[in-house]
Amino acid sequence: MKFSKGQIIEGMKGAGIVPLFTHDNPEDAQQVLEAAYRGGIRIFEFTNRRENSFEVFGHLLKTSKKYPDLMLGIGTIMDGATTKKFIDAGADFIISPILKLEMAKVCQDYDTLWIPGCATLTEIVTAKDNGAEIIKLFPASILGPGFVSSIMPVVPGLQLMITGGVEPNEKSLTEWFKAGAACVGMGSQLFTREILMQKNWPLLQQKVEECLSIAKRVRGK
Amino acid sequence: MKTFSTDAIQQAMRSSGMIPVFYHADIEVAKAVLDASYKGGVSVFEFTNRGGNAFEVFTQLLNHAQQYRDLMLGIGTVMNAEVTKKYIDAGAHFIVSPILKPEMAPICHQQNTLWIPGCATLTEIVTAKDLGAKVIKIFPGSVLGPGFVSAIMPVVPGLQLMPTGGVEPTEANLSAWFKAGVMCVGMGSQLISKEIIETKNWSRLQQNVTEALAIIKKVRK
Repeated sequence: MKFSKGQIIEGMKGAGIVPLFTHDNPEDAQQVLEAAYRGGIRIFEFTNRRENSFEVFGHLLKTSKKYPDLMLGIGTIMDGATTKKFIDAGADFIISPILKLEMAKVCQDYDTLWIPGCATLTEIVTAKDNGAEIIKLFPASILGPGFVSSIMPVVPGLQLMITGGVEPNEKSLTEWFKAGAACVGMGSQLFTREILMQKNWPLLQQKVEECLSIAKRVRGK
Repeated sequence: MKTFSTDAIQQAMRSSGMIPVFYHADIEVAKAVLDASYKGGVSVFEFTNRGGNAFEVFTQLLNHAQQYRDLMLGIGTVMNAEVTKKYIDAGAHFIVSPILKPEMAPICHQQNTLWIPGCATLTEIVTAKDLGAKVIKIFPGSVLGPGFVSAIMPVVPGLQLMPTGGVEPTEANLSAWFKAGVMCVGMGSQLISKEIIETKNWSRLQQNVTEALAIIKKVRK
């Protein structure tokens, strides 16, 4: 294991932003990862949403060897077997859009950070009771920052990663961090279709830099 | 008594895009609503198990529906396995529930009956899918909204979702749901209004149904 769970959580909270991304072309995926890294990203979630995501992830893991401080995890994992497969391949952490308890066991056995996706307080507390130290809120745009501010006082110490519809602007990020988010996941709002189609990697790097600096500013860091 | 395969029912739901959802304690009113809906173009109808005599009204309605060879009549608001079994034995063509109750799944599968559980989070939806649900009801639809559907569709390919609760027979509302990717919608009081029932205005109901189906056809193009 390259990184401890504590290191990964601290990294997520430190940056405030965890980019998430999928692509079926390994070269383009590598370009996105490297542009994000140049923009300041040290924690990156690739998502398992395509037929060849495992192969592309393997390619990214190889790429990530160039960057000793880059933590590379896998998202959109739905069951225990797939969790194991990606941990064996070298994923630094496992993210899921759902709460699937069999995944908790596998991650625990391999001492790997498990970030389940929840959408109700019951799911969140169930995840916490099953060992989740950080929990993804999904789809966040439906629940809203008000959901987060309502539940934070109820469950002290909750660490939430907000994903789904978070926008890379001051207003959206301020709302979520004020509500108590530990960090936000950002996908299509950051890696826009336009950037990907034009393969405009310098623009992507610039957007990532801007986004990280907004996240820093709105949290008074 | 006629039967339909689970595939035939899914096909009919997908094709019309809408199923009316209705309960009334008076069998004559129930028959009139079913007749008007059928004349308006509906081929899948959900009666709901919401009153003390719902079972008696439903069995009479099933008999009445025999005259319409292509009409599929299911029961909704079923909450447990025992009631599921009772309605399947009585001849219900499909079973709808506002909740995810896993004990209902094997009863439906054993009898080859379509089970449509109600879910409100992605964790519930994936659990339902893993338990064999081919169609999943999104409830309460108006609380989750079309944004919920569009957020989860890319995460779980092949989902067949039916939002119910607060779906309106207007172009704006139906267009938002179908653009988000739903398979069909359930429509209750917004389609079969209190006023229509009170004034027994069955020709108006037939017209409402025809119009709703025409809007769906239009927005799906």
